[in-house]
Amino acid sequence: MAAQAKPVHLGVLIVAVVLVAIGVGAVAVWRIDWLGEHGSGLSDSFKYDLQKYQKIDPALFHYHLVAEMPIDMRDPRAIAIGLGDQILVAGDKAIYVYSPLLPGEGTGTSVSPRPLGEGPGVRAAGPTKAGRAVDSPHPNPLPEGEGTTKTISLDSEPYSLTVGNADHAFPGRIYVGMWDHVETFAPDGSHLATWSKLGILTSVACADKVVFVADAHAKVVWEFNPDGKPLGQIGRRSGSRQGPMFVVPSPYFPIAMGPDGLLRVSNPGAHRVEAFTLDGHLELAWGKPSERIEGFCGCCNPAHLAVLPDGRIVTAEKGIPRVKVYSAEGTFEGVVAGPESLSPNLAAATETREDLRLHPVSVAADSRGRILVLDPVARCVKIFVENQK
Amino acid sequence: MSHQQDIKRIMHRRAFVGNALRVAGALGIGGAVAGLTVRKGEGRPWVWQIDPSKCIACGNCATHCVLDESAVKCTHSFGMCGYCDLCTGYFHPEPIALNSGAENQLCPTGAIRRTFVEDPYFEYTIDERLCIGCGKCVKGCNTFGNGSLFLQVRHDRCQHCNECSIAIACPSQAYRRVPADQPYLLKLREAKG
Repeated sequence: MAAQAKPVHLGVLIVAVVLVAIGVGAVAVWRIDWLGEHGSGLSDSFKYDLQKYQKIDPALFHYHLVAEMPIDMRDPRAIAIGLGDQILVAGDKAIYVYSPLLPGEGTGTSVSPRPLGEGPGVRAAGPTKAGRAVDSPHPNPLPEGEGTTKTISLDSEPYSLTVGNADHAFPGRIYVGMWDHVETFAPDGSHLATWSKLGILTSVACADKVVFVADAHAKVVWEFNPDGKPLGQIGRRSGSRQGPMFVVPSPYFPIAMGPDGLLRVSNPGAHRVEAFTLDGHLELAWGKPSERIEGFCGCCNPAHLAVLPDGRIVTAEKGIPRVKVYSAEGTFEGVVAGPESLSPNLAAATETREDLRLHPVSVAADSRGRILVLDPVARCVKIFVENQK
Repeated sequence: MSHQQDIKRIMHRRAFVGNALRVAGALGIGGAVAGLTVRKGEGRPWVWQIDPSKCIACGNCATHCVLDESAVKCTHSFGMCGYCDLCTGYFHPEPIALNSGAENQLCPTGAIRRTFVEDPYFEYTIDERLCIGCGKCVKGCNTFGNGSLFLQVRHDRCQHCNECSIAIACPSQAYRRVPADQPYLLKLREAKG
């Protein structure tokens, strides 16, 4: 006897088909590689992997992060230390001048100084609130009641910055490297002079009576007196100056003045830091290309320099973002910050910029040996203090 | 009187026919012009291209093209290049030596040629016969260098599929259609000349 066929309801069939369609659709959406994480299917030899170079041995970290100062700028680009350890940050057509950090070791996790004033000109200091530690039981690294002192407006975007120290002919004078010229300001923020146009300026440093300006286009370091009168140049072989030529493939060409009276110049294409006397003679050079921690990675590094009060050199690299300390003679001493403590986007493995300007971290050192790292992606200044030995 | 009225009516009829013919002619000419214009617009060819400002060099271009050998190739913007001795688009992150030995090269297919210019500068050119568009050199150049290496669809190879299989697989939505008379999307500085 034949089995009687069981009738299938049309409604059940439609629901089943719809459920299957939803399921297939969900699987299809789930399988979409929105972020390219599934890979291309190519073997490992086709992958560009820097992970092993981005990991740094914790024992090499000689500094630790003690505070972060948010910078209320869209595009902060340069940092410098002024008289009395004032902190100057340049960007967004302005210079913000912040009060010095407390003498003691700042241990707050975040501080929030605010610059005064908007618009052109200089706004006087006021009894602004200093930054306060946020969500931290630690003391504020900024003195209570003395936050930002002034804002200096600029006509165009600044790229570099330095301040004359107490030994400079004009202590406290501010030298701002714009794209192709230097602007100078008095310590009170009033505009002094606009120097003549040069090439592509990347860094400014000053000694007692000389101001040095690094020019990535001409691949030389120009020497001026404090009023902008040209005195000479370093990096072009002429007469008694037979030093090396600078290799500057991209606009990262930092300089810094040391307490030993030598001008440190990064020769980025050669992955070296070179030290010159004030009359332009090469005294010493050190550095080697390497992705390893003791060398300078990539094709143009170090991208920023600073000198500690004891003469040690602070270097900042782009590509694999890391800040390190070397002795004055170039012996690697330790790490200040690595990719873990800087903005992830600074590790630009997938970065696709359209122009030549990738803003790496800028570094400065105050008179107490604290290292200030300007993180342009996080838009903050990270303050590092040396570990107790 | 009746005869004159007939003549007037005939003249009106003639005028009407004449006017009708003129209007029809004008409409015809206008229609033809409009039709040709619309057809020209409709027929304007568009091609696929990679926007280098969005490309993340994920490697999908090498494996998702319908062609056995991808139509996507690395392009070099010489105006942006630093001509570095240690080119991070050419060399492994930690090369044994800065020479053209295969063990030092980043490109898995050896598609980049290194030529000495003057100390310490070198020129890097792409051998498109060997390039498969994996983008490994693009990542190396973007990470450390000036970003002068970038990927582009080469239109002498592209089949101009209506639905580009690489565009579907592109995780950064870098593919878009561009007019065939402007088929390449160059990086900003190069495009500015």
